[in-house]
Formats: sequence, C-alpha cells, structure tokens
Amino acid sequence: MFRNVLKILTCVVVLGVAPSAWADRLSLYIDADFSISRRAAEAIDLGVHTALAEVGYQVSGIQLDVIRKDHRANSKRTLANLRAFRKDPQAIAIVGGSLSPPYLTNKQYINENGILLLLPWSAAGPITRADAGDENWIFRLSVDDTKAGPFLVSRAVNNAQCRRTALLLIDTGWGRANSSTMQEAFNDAGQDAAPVFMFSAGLGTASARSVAESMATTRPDCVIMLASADTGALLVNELHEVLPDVKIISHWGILAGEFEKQVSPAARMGMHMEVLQTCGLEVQQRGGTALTRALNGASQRGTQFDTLSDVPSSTGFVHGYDLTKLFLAALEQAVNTVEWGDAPIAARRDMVRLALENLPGPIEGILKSYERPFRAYSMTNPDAHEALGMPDLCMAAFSEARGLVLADSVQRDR
Amino acid sequence: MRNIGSINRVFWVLIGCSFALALATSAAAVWITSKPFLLETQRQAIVSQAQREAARVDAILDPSESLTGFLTSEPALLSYVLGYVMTDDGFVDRIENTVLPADISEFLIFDFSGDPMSFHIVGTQSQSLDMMQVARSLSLEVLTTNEMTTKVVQSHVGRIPDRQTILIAAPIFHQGFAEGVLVTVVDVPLYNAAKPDDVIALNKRIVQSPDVAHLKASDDNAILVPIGTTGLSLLFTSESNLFKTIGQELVSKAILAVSAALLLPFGVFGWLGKQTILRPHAEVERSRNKLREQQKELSELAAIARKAEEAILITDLDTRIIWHNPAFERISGYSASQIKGQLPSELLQGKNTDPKARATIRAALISHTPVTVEVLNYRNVTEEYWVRLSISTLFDDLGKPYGYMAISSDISDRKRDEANLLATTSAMEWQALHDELTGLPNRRCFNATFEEHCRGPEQKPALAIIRIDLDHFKNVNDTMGHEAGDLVLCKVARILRDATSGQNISVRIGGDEFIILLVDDGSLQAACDLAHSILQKVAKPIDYEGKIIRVGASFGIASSECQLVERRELVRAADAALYLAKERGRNQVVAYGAEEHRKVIGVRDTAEQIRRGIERGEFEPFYQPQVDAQSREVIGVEVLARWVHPDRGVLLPGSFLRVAEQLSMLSTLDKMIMEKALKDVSTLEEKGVCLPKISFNVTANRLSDPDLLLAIDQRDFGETAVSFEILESVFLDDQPEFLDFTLDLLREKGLSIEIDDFGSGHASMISLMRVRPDVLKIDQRLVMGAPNSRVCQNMVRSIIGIAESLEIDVTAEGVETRQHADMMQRMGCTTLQGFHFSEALPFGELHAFLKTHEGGLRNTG
Repeated sequence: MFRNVLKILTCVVVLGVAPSAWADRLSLYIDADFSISRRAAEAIDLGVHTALAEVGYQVSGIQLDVIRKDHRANSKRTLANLRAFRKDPQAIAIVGGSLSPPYLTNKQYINENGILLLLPWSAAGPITRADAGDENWIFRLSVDDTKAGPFLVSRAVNNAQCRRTALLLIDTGWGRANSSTMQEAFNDAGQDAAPVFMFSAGLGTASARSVAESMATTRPDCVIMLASADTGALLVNELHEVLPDVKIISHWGILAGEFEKQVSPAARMGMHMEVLQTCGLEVQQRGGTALTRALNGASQRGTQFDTLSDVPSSTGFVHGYDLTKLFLAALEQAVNTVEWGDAPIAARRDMVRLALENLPGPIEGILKSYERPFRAYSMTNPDAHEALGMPDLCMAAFSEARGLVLADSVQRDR
Repeated sequence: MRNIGSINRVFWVLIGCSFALALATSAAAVWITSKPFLLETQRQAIVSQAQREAARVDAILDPSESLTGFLTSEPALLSYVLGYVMTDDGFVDRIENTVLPADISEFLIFDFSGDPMSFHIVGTQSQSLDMMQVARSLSLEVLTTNEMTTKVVQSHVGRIPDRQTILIAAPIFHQGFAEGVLVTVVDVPLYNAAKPDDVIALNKRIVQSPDVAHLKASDDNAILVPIGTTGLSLLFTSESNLFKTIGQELVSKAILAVSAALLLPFGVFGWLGKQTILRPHAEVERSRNKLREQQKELSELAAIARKAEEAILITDLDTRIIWHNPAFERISGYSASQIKGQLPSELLQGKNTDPKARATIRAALISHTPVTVEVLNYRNVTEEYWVRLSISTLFDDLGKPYGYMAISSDISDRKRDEANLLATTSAMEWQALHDELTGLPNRRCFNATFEEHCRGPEQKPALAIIRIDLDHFKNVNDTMGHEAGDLVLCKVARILRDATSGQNISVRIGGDEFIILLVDDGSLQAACDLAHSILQKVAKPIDYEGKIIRVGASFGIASSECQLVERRELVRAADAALYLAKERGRNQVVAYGAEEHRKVIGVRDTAEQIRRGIERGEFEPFYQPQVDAQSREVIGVEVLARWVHPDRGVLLPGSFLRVAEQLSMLSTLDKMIMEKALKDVSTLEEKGVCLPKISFNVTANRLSDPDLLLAIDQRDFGETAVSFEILESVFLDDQPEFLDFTLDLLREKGLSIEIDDFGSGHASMISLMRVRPDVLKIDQRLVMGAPNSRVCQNMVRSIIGIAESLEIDVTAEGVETRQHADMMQRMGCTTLQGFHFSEALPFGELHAFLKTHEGGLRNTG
C-alpha cells in the first residue's frame, strides 16, 4: 500500500516538474558546413557564442543551448537538419551557415513549416523574399545579392574601369540568381551583356582549366566571380595561368575556406583581386567599443584576437555576433509577453519572428547600431528582412602580411 | 514326351542364360575398376568449366565497376545529390551519351542518408523490391566505408537462378566527403538452363566471397571460385551427367566387347547343338506335317474346281487337255469325251476370234508367263460367245513346267451391254448439241464452238457472226398452224445448211432465230454477201397444202475484221445490228459498223449515267403551276421530272425516259421524284405555304405498285390534295383488269384522278364513264392550235361539253400566251396551265413564285 502511494507521488512530481524544466531551456541550432568550409562555420559559431556569453546564455531566466549541425555544403543535409529542428520542442531558431544553396533549395519548406532562420552569411537574394502567399520566416544580417550584384558591377565598371567584364558563376541557385541581377546592372550601366561562364560545384582542376581557356577566348579585362573557397582557388590559379592580367572582383564565397592558402600571393596580388565584404574592417579602422567587447569576449574562448583581421573569416564572426544580439533582443521581447507562458514551441517561434520584425532600437552591434533592423515582410517591401543595405558593403583586398584589408587602403599602401 | 518346339526352347534358353551371366560379371568388373578414375575426370572438368565461367562473369562486372567509379565524378550528379539542382537531367544526359555495357540494367542514386533519390532503367530487366532493399542497405554501407562495394542480390533462394543481379555501389564524393551513392545494377546471365546435349550441368550462383552459407555440407561437388577482385565468388553445384554418361558408355562398350568375344564360342556351341540334337528331330516332324497338308490341300482344290462357275482346264505342255471341270462342259457345249486330248485352240476358236488375242495367248504359253485376255469362242463350232480367259503355267517342285491351267468365264452378256451403251451414248450426245426439228447445231453447240474460236490470240483470222430473225413468223404459226411453221423453219434450215460449208456452221438458237458462224472467211464483205444471198432464198414463196407462205428475214452482221468489239462481244454486236435492221423496217441486212457502234456506246453511256444519276439523286421534281381560269389564283402544281445533270444542266424527260424504260428503271425514278415532291410540300407547309393541290403523272402499271400507295399514306402534310394524272391511252380497251379496283382505292383515300392529254387518244365514252375522272386535261396541241384553227376550237368545245356532261372540270395545258388564256377561259375551261403563267420551276423558285404571283394562292381552307 505504502509502495503504491510512493509510486503515485513520484509520478506527480515528475510530471509536474518536467514541463517547467523543459520550458526553461531553449535551443539555438547552427546549421553550417563544419567540414569543408569549416573556417566560416567556426567564425559564425564564435560570433553566436560570444553574443550568447555576454548574456550568460540566458534570457529572462531561460537557458539557451547551442546545437551544431553540419550540413557539409549539402542541401539535403540541411533539409534533414530542418526536419530535426521542426520536431525539437525546444528549438527556437536556426542560425544558417555561409552557403546560399541549402536555403534557396529549402526556402519553401522553411516558410511553410515555421522554421525561424537567421542568416549571418548566405547572400543569395531570393532567400529572404518569400514566395507569394507564403509567410517569411528568414531574416538576414549579411550581404544581399540583390545589392551585392549591382555593387560588384559598379565596382567593376566605375572603380576598376573595366570594359569587357566576364561573369564566372558557380552553377547553383546562388550563382544563377546573381547572373540575372548582374546582367541587369550591366544594362543599367549602359554596357553590353557580359558573357557568362557557369561551373559545377564539384569542379576539378581539369574542368577549371577548361573554363579558364574558354573564358580567355572572350578576352575579358575583368572577371566577377561567385565561387566557394575551393572552386574559387582552382579557378583563380588557372586564370592566373591563362589570363594573368585580368582583374578579379569576387563575391565573398571564397572567404568561407582557406582560399588565401590555396592561391599564391603573386596570383592574388597580380590579378588585383578584390573581395566583397561588409564594412567590419572599416569599423576596425575607426575603432568601436562593440568590436572591442566582442573581440574580448571571443578571446575568452581560447584564442586571443587583438584585431578583427586576426579572426579567420571575420565576416562570419561579425555577422554571427550582430545577428545573435538582434535575436536575443527579440527573444527577450517575446518571452516577456503574457502569451509566452503556455504557448507551444511553434507559437513561440512565431512570437520571436514577430518580435524580430518589431524590434525597438537601438541595439548595438559591431557593424552598427541597429534601429528597427527588420519589418513585416510584404511583396512591396522586399528588403524587410534585410538588416544591412548597400551602404554597409565594402571591398577588401588580400594583403600579403595581414590577411584582408580594406581595398581602398591597399590602394593607398601602394 | 516333349515335342520338338519345347526341346528347342529349353536348349536356347540355357544358351542365353549362360551368355547373359558371362556379360554381367564382365560389366561389374569393369565398373568397379573404372569408378575412381571417372570421378576424378568429372571433377577436373567441372573445375575447368567453373574457372571459365568466373572469368566470363568478371569480364561483365569489371567494365561496369570502372564506369560506376567514373560516373560518380560527374559534376551534374554531384550537384544533384547535394540538392543544388532539383533534377538529375545532367546525369541522365551523361549516361545517355555514354556507351554502357550491355548487362547494366539500372542506375540508382541515393542521398547522404541512404535514401533513394531516383533511378534510371537502361536495360530491359525490371528489378524487384528485394533488389531495392539490398541497394539501400548497400548505400548505407558505402556511406560508412566510403569505398566502392559490389554486392549480389540473393533473390533466388530455393531455386537455381538463370541470371543474378549484382549491385555496384560507389560513393559520390564532395570535397572528400561521401554525399551520396551511385548504385549500378548489373544483370549477370548465368545460363543455368541445361542444354540437352550438356554432359555437365553446372548450377551456378554468385555469392559474397565470405558467404559460404549456400555451400551445402552434403554436396561434395560444390566449388567456390573467386570472381576477379570483385569480392564475389561463383558457387558451383554440379548435377553432372559426366560420371553417369561416361560410366554408362564405358560399361556398355565393355559389354559390347565381351559380347563380341563370347559370341563366337557360344555360337559354335549353339550350332553344334542344333545340328546334332535339334535338326534330326525337326526333319522328321516337318516331313510328316508336309505330307498331311498336301493331301488336305489337294482334296480341297479338287472339290473347289468341280463346284466352280468358271471353266477350268488343265493341259500338258503341248496344250492337249488332260483335265477339265463340269463348268467347262456347260460353257463350251462339248461332252467330256469330245474334250479329252483336244487342243483348246482348235476346239474353241473360230473365224471371228481376234487374231491378236490368239497371238497374245501363244506368246504367253511359249514364255510361260501368266496371261488374261478376252476372247471370242465358239460353242459347237457355230454359236459365238465371249470369255475372259486366264492361263498360267504349272510348275513342279523343282520349278520345271509340266502343263498349263486355263480358267475362263462367260462374259457374253457384259459385252452385249457395252455395245448397247455405246450406241445409246452417241445418240444422246448428238441430240444434246443439235436442234431436233431442223437438225442444225443448237445454241449449246454454238456456244462451245464460238468459245473455242474466241480463245487464243486476237491475230487469228477474222470471225463473223450473222444473226437471223424471221420476220412475222408468229403470223405463220398463228394463221396456218405449227406444222406450217415447222415447215418454214426446216426450209430455212436447209437454205442455211446449203450456204455453209467447211468450218462455217449454221445454228438454230431458238424459235425463229438463227446464227451463222463464219470461220473460213470472216470478213464483213463475205458475211454481207452471204446474208443477201440467204435473204433472197428465204424470201421465195413456200407452198404448203396448196397455199403460199411468204416470210422475210432480218439480218444483223458483226465481224472481228472491223475491230470495233472483242471477239466475245461479236454476238451482242450482231444482235444490236439485228435490232437496227428490224427498226429500219425488217427484211434487210445491217452490218455492225462504226456508226452503229457509236449509237450502242451512246445508249450504254446514257444508261450508265442514268444509273449513276439515280444513285446520286440527280432527278428532281419541277413544279408547273395551275391557275384558276377566272380568278387566276394558283390552285395547284403538276410535278414534272427533270434530270439536273452535273455537266449538261437541266434535261427534259425526252432525253432519258426511253432509256430508263429500257433499263426498267422508270418505277425507281417515279418513286424518287414522288418522295422528293412529297417532302417539298411538307417543307412548304412548315413555312406556312399550303398548296391547294399537287398532281403526279403515273403510268397504269405504277398505279398498282403498293409502294405508291404506301408513300402517299405516309405523307406528312394535311392541307394539300393529291391528284394522279393518267394518260388517256390507259383507257384503251385492253386496260388492265385491276385498274377499276385501284381507282376505287385511290378515291377512297381522297385522291383525285385526272385524264392527261385528253384528245390525243381513243378513249371510249364507256370507259370514261367507268373511270369517272375528276378532271380532263386537254392536250396542249389542241390548245395551242385553237387561236388559228376552227377544228381545234371545235374539238376543245367538244371536250368541254363532255366534261360538262360528266360534271367534271377541264384543264387546258399549253397556255403560252394571254390569247390562249383568254380564249380557254371564255370557252369554259376551269383551270389553265402553261408558260404564260410559268414554266416548270425547281422547288427553290416555286416558293418565290407563289409569294409573288399576281393572282395569289388559293386558300386551302
């Protein structure tokens, strides 16, 4: 008899306590390529953790856990991760990795299943533009290719004075989306359509040579390149052989890996290679308290970082940090509403989404102080889920000694 | 005591048993000594075949493995498994542009988690669910090991597979990580179905090398041979017939050799036994039996010969009779004493006996060969009779001839019957081909002869046909009797027979119709000359019982010389010429020349066009309005047939009625016109135009056609009255008997009767009263002639008078001018019809006429 009563009491305690224990913890997923583009993924991870560490991994008493998911540059792995997230009753949001294709491919699944996705790096324009009739659950604090494409074209036409620019694009959704955007920009700049060379994501040395030789037949003076670190390195090496004088203006996909180790300084410098960045380097140049705090925080995780250039793939760090700051603000806002208490996880994700669209400013980030960075998305407001814009874009160059530097400062160095 | 048969049997059974025992012991010895050697031979043969087979399978798998490895580096495939592109079109293009090994049946693509993404069937084999499951687990294995792996699908448990499915799975790497798996499905034929001539039936099965579960412990013959470096092995379990086959062959050959060796001693032993033991016994027994049988046989033969119906003779070699049976005495009429010792040739044959038959008999006797002849014999020297005689030589036991036996039977009755039948048959044949009255060849004879001359090439000498038809021959029969007619026919036949000689023949083809077929000189001129000379002779008066008979004849001639028609058509051409001769006044000769040919062709064309016109419905009803003489209202229409010819326009009845009548198509034509007209009236009624009356021209015969009344009964209009116009000539005295009945029936149905062309015939007043028509229509010749001819006016007045006395209406036809109209109105005609008011109109124009006619349309109500 006594034993039976004890069993019942145990059940009541377990069943009563368990929900509150579950309710006090939330998970933040990081879905990134921790295998191939490991450096970029780690940089994002560092940014996220640094921001979370500043609040002790807690928001209004809720413990935040970080779960790493490796998609290995495979959209299908991302889909598996999204499915796992959806079923996880504590998963509140996902921070994406550096690549665009996983999210271009799975955009519909994300929006239809209410998966709150925060993108600190992926640049493809259509990701943050929901299809007609769909809700928009994807927020970005990064370069937006709808701005980056015209920006790169402007850089080629106006700064580098290119007259025959060729487009060298990876054959994924990211590359294809940029093709049309940039052709429009050429058109707007009064130039003829640029010849386009697409290459496969699984490009090898022989194929890279073949692409470079085909490109040489059009005798370009500049090349705008969208590539991953590995494919980009292969192509730049081959272009350096075939077209040593061509100028290369690259999107930042090459920064996700160890591009600078795979390409010789002679090639990088000889081809006046520039790469797209947000203006973190500029912030560093002028100095900023948020940056200093973030670098200090990051240094607590084992490696000492004195300047932003010391951080490998610093873009991921900067954007990961800033985006997590925005997320934490939104979460706090949501948690402190009446509805939060009993809401199921799907409803809580939605509350955070709405909070993100209605963040009161200012929120201090490394890049800038954010004033109402996101708004409710509609077809008439396509940039509503973009925290950055054209003014936040800069070009960087590879310096032989210090890694990336602002492109204009390189010019000045000379 | 045993008889000779049982002794024989026992002797040979003992010999046989000894022989068999010797063979059996020899075979057993051979089998025991050779068995180990045979088993080893079999094993070596199986191993050799197994190695060849493993090399064959390796040759299939090796290129497929290379290809699979090569395809995994295909960028399009990588993009697909990474999800960068949603379709595998690039990969499909690649495999479609690659020459694939023939045994590859399918490619399967799996993603990073081993889930199937797509498959591509390139072969003809369809794969099973088993295969899919194995492929999936294999892909998971490959994703773990990151190595290409080959696996066999064991989906044939419990039976020997004829082909097996091998999966070659290779990882698809991206930057050193396996992100998917390409599985190539290869169908390896094993050819396990044994051929009938296979000595060794090797049952093969591909297994994973470490997997020897299939190796049955009990199967000593199972062999495992690795297949190259694939990690697979071929497991052979033999159901070899080699051991059995060679063993059987060895034992059977050993038995054969031992048999050959033993045969001689056993043979010698048997022969000696037979000669010394069995034979003496057998000889005695056989002699005894033979004697008994011969005695029995002879007595039976003698009894048969005595009772036989046939005459039987036995002679010596000089042919003198030494024995005969009673039947011979009866048939020959001689007694036994007269027969004995005589020569049959002298005794039986006489002056009319066929020398050839006698020679045949002599030759057979000399050569001792059997002979059968039918020969004329004499009974008692005088009376002839026929026998069928068979003679054969008698030989003794040594084959030496010692006499002859002759068997004969009387066949006189049969000979007589044959002679009678021959005579009868000849007479019948002649009658079948000749005319009984005149003795001339008849139509059948002519057809056969003519057909014979038509065969063969057209370049044969000219052929001519003269067709002759006696004029008014019927009158001779009618007035002077058939005997006179027969006399005339016989006389004409004689003239014709005299006029023809050689191959030319005269033929009576029936009644008073004759044909002469000219073969020797078939020119047109010769035929015409002959015809004219015959015409002259036929025209001469014939004396019959003191009275003179005169007949003429019409001649139609056609010759192949003119080359107007084919030879077979000559009779028809001559017929056409004969028709023209009769049409031109008889008693003359007409040759079928170019002009005649043209006319025939013309009529034939017209006939064909009419036939086609009827099929196409080209015959249309036209409508000529009839107006009231006083008010000039339209009170009805007469339906007139018109042929709307596609080339020649609208044709009047004159150009087709006569030919249509010849073709017996008049009733079809009438029916078509009537059906269309009835439909037109219905259409008019639907448009709100009600004709007071419609009248049709009908012939007397047509009146009795049940279809006519049926068509009228089925009309689907109610306001318009129907009237039939019948020619006055119908009412001649020989009018059909049914006419009264038919007219009564028509009246009962509410139809009216009009007499057409009244004044042109000879209808009697009596018949007119019988018919009681509703309207008389005055012949248009009288109407048109009236303004200028008093006679015509008087005639019209008379007709109107008749109508008044019958209390019926009068219609004037042929009213072409206002003068005609006014005159007929004044004279008392009630209805007018003619060009003055309107010509016959097609249906389309009739409607317009009725709407615009000055006098309007009489109200039917």
